[in-house]
Amino acid sequence: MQTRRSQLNPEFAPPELLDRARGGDGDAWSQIVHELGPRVQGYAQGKGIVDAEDVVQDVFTAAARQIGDFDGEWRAFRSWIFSIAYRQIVNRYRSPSRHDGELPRVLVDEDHIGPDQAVVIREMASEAVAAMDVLSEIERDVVLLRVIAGLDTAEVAKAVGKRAGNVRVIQSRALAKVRAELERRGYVMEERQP
Amino acid sequence: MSDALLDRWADDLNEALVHDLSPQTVDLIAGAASASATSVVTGAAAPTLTIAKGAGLATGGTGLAGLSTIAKVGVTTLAVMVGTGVAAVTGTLPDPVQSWIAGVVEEIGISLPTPDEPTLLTIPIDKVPLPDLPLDGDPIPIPDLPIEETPGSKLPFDAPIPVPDLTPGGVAPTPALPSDDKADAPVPDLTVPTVTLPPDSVTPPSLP
Repeated sequence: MQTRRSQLNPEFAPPELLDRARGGDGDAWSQIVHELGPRVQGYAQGKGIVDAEDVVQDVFTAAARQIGDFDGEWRAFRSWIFSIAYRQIVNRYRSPSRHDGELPRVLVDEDHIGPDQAVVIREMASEAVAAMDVLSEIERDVVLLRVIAGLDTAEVAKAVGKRAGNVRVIQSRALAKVRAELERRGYVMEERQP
Repeated sequence: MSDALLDRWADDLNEALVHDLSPQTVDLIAGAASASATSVVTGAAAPTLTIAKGAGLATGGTGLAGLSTIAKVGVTTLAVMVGTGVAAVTGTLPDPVQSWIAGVVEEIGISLPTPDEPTLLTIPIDKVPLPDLPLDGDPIPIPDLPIEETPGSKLPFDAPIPVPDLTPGGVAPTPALPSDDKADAPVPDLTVPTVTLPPDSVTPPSLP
């Protein structure tokens, strides 16, 4: 069963992990996919791609082919993975980006919260995704890479091939649009159980 | 983001979009990645599996969308085996690749050698259902259906159809060319007649 994974793990950086991955170590790749796969999938879903798992698979297969050319630590590797994801989505999937149909399924652990609370969380999460419909493609990329991938401004700039200052402008404009949209939709801030 | 509303929105966005992959999906994707990395290191042909859809496999628009998951596994595995020069069958691939491919095809009943335990290729052909055909000596039932002439047909069913003799040494049928009344018409003589002039008819010019 799929479970929620809302928090990045800043401590995740097993020693020798990337060296083992370069050599084709299956366990190393399992750790990498387990750690980064959910966020690559979330990024793809946020871009409106229905078959987000296809993107995950394409991204890690491409990364495996090119990892011999990568030189850096875990943080740089994570940024590199999302730059691959960005290019894959732009070049191959041409995402619709607009959720005209079905919104991404929101998974809620109802064992720890009540069903009524689960309904609220689902609705709020769906509203959160729908609020991005006001964003342009690049604005959506910047927001998703910041919020879902957890990249900083410089890493986002590198991933999307823009200058950091430009990315900061795009991010500021995008968040202002999202905020206005959330207020227009009556986005309710209420206390919820984790 | 220091804005409380946007912070809450970011949390909700994570909640909506980020979920752990199933262990099976992680294993499949990691296996494909591992095989790709290994093939680059060893210089072997890179398998081009496309793995996705939770427990299933997809082929990324290669025209196998209508097949069952097991069939996709089989077809995709076959493509990998061809791509790697049947090295998987002989167990000569690098160990991680060999282990992964052997594990995948095990699901459809094909046993490939693993690095730890090399074995011969065995394909469970006894599991393939045989068609129920009549054996020798059994009469083949011919359905007795009435033959009805198609109304409005203008084909000459009663006219004999000439069959040319095509046996070696046989006489090839002479094609019947259409007769033409003008075939016996005289052919005009197109040769240019030779003209001979008498020598006295030419008077040499007198020069001053």
